[in-house]
Amino acid sequence: MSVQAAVQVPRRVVAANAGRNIRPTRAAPEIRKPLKRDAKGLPIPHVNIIVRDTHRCRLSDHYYHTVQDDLMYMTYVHEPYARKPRRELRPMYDPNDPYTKHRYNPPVGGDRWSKQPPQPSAPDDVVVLERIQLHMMMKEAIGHRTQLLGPIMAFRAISGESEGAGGRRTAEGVQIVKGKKSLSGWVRPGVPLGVKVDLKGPKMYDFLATLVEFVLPRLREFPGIVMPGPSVRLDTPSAASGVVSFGLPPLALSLFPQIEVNLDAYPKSFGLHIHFVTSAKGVGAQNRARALLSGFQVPFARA
Amino acid sequence: MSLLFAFTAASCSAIKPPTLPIRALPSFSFTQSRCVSSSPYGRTHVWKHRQRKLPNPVVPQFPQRVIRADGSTFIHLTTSPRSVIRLTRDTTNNPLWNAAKFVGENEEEDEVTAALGRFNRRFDGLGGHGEEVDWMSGAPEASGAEAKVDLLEEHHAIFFASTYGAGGKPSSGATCRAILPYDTLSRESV
Repeated sequence: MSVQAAVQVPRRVVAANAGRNIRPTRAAPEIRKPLKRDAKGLPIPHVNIIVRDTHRCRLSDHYYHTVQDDLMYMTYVHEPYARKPRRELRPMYDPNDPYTKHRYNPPVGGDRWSKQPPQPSAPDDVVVLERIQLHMMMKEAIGHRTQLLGPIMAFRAISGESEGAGGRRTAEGVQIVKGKKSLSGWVRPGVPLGVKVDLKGPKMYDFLATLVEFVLPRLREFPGIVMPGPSVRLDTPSAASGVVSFGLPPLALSLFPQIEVNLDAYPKSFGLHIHFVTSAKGVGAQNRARALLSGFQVPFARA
Repeated sequence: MSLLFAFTAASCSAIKPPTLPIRALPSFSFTQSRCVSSSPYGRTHVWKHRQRKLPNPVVPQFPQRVIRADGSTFIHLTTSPRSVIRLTRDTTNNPLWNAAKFVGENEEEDEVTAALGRFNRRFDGLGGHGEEVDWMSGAPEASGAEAKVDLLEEHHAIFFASTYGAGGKPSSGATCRAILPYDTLSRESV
């Protein structure tokens, strides 16, 4: 009897509150005075604002649902026995010297990173796309740096990246590439030459989807991305670094739907280079990177 | 009151040079002071308070419905402000992505235009069409053909018994090819 009574009492309270207050916390306080403004006239928020991902990414889901398992299967190399330990080579500097004790001390002849075999196949080490870099160079920009404005706006439209956008400190946005060397009559150090942008995360996959759905199928006379022949060595730095690169002609720029919408806004058309940086490393890493990209319907063709 | 005094004293001590003997007193170790840390590694682990600011704006993205040439659709977010885009050339009808779809096209062409088609039209009534011409249909001795088939089967039996052995594995295809007589080889390849 007493137990029933004890149960009944709080029930009544809950029923009384249920209709009135659904929210588990208190309502936001009423705004009595406007936010303070900083030196630029922008309101100073009460909290740190950061814009996170707002929607599912189609190709990212595709990778984690389908491509990853297939790649694991396609690139699997069975190694029943443990690998032989690496040959001990004499380090370049005396390891007993206190100066070189905690410093980089490669073996004599270099560390030969491109000659190293890939990591053993493992489910947590499947090749994954890390970032996509787009870049272009415009010769006219050496004389008139304002020529770079068109490429900057085009890259911003294509990539959707902006510096520090939404409070993300790592979003670098579109960057200007400056000359490094001094070549007589052409380049001087510090002269803006071109534009580049690094894409990571969902924006990277969005760009890849746009490239495959809109640009590559509509390119005229596109034979696919031509691969080098089978006799090419697999331990060169380009073949072992896991990066797949190709270029798009100037006509391809107008095929991006983001550019196509207001093509007149861009005074000049230009080509761009695309680098797909993957996590594949070691001998033959570029082939594994190609296998990954063909999972996203990027077409490759034999030479 | 005493607490307040302790705070002010601590802040004063922080400003004063560290040679003062007061700093060594244990009573000051629990007073909270922002300028002095008990960490031997300094204050690099303490997040510096900066003025909050409104973040930079993001590039606006709009949902866009894409209709492919075969009628399949999907919606993606893009900086293009068009709400619907209809593709006429895409991965569903570009031959580069649909190599398997366009494989059979050449056969019809052959029948109409190419040399094999012309040959078939010219020798239409000769028992066979395209590549399935029965070359032995008009041969004079039917019994001779049957005898040849029997001989072939016998040859096969002997051959397999010799190569496979008693429960052993068959030898590689290359050696089979090398040993087999010419007409069996041609039958296999067809």
